[in-house]
Amino acid sequence: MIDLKRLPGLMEIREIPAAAAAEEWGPAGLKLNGKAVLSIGALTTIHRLETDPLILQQAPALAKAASCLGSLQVRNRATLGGNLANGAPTADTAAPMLALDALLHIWGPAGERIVPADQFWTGPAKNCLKDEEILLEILLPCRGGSSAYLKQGPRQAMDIGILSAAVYLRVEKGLTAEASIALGGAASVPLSCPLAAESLHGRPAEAEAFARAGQLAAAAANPRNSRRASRAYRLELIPVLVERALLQARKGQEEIK
Amino acid sequence: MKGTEKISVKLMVNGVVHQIEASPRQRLLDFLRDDLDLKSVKEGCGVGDCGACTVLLDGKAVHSCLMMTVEADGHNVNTLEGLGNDGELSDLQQSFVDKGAIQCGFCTSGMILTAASILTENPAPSPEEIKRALAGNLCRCTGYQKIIEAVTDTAEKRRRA
Repeated sequence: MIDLKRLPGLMEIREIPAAAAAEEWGPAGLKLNGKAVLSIGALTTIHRLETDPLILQQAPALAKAASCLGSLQVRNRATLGGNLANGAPTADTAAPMLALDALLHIWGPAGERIVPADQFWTGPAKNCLKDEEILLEILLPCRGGSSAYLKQGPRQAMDIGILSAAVYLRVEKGLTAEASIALGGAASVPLSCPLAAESLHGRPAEAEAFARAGQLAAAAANPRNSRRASRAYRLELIPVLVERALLQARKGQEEIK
Repeated sequence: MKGTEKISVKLMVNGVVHQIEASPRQRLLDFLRDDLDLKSVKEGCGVGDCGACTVLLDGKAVHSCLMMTVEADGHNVNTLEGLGNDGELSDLQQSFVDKGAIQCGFCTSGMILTAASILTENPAPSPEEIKRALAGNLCRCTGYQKIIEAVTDTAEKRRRA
């Protein structure tokens, strides 16, 4: 048994400068590519994520997703690590992890390892954690652009999403320089849509390209029929939410400048 | 039997320190209601949907039905009983009375405690922010309008004071 209280940093949010991040994560954190990193301890509460100035500034998609999760009472106790490790394909904080290129730092008796978010989930309520392994912290590279999260649920509060879209966007001179698109509730795991994101590269960051990316995201999805919504309705929702989220992210980046 | 050994817990409830031996299976809700006789803490659904069991843990609204007593070790718990002063109602409770934000009263303790935590974090919440923050407190009588008015009323009075 592990006494969680004896592991340091589990409830911290800290910004690690690029040089220190390279030293600390070295080859394991290749995807960080010499960028500064936001380290979020796995026991950070969901409510902290929706209110923390660093998260609001560096990862608005995650802050927004956190604000959509459950009730205030739940958000005050629920943790990022718990929401991710639980493995629901609709988990609010999951799609933002994919869109923000998160790396998950895992700790266990056999040693530590770092897993990119898109390799963490292996099926509904399943993840790659081995026996006695725990999720220690979540690393988000600070990439400069903006991000957004949109959720469609059966009602406005206190419900699991039917579908959610998390996007990351960096625009240079009106053209998309970098983009990521991820969906919740669109497959048996939180789904990354690299083809849809690549379709944006070098194109004008405008509604037309965003709508096309939304169509490509829908083509990559394989949602199920469930009590909350039909497969057909989810497929209709994907392009709408993706396009709107991209528009929001573009607006977010304009506001940063 | 495994899991039945009592565990030492020290916590503060409404300003009073309690050093107890708690069953690891006891919910905080049951400790507060049955052992401390704090009957303002209600059990509605017992699964974190209705918010009737809301208490403040270090000032933040949480479900006492989803928390074990042992998890409150080292923490500061407040129930509605701890809100007023010497039998006097707090300003927030008075606003609930003034605005008629109570009918059967079952949801009221949780509603007021969640509202208290909102006002600590945000002294001037908009009606939309109040609605969002109270989404986890269900009321089947009032239709919520008067509750939102009561929270707004307290916020306004505190700003004027």
